[in-house]
Amino acid sequence: MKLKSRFLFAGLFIVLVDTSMAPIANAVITPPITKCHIEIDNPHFSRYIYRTKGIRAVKVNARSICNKPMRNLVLKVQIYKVGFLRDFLVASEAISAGFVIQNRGFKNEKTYVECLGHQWSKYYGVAFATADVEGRQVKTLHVSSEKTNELKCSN
Amino acid sequence: MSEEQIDRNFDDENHDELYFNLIHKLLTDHRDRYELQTSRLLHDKSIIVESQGSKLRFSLTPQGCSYSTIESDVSTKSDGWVRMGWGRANKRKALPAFFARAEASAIINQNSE
Repeated sequence: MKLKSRFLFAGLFIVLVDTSMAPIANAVITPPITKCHIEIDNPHFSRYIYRTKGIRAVKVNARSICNKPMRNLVLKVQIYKVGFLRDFLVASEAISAGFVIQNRGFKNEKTYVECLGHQWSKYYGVAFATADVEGRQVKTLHVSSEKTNELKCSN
Repeated sequence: MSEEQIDRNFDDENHDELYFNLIHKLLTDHRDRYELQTSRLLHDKSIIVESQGSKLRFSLTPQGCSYSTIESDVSTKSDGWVRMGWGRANKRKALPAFFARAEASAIINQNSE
């Protein structure tokens, strides 16, 4: 199952803050105004480049989809390697689009890091996006890949 | 990685074929230019390269290199960063492929619109 993150709206946030201060009996769950989310897959070897060129590259893909048209969409994907004391960013790629029509998935499939050695290392991906939806700038939470995968790839 | 894990990921085989073949072709066709750009970038720390209707700015960072699209004929743009390590030797080795990667992104962005 891919992880999903609803776009956070400033307006929705205000509603939630207001209701949290009201008595519990008056609390109302406000549904999201739009159905926008991002999906991120797990770190994996690109099968194509390994099969054809013998190169091992760790990839993480992400997709943004929304039931409203999006303007100035920026979808960023980062690949992290788990370290001894802290995790290291090893690759980052952002793709921006001027306009994306509703219900059309916008993918970022360009984020990869080439392996330089064969040592086992753990990787995970993080994706987030910003866009203008109905004239308001919205942004997602940072979404991590479901799994941290151990791959025979060091760099 | 198990088959189950692979199936949970997006099917990126077609995209990878286009993307990595393009990077490989650019790297083969423009290796001399990329070597020159590598030397310039290591010296100047930041350079602007005009290619395929896009202006790309490459900047060295302590542990890698970043690129950003500063001018393009199309609205789809790419920015990226890759970790290459601290030393100049590591960067010299990795930079030609990074130039090819950035230009491949620019070309794919143009063709996708």
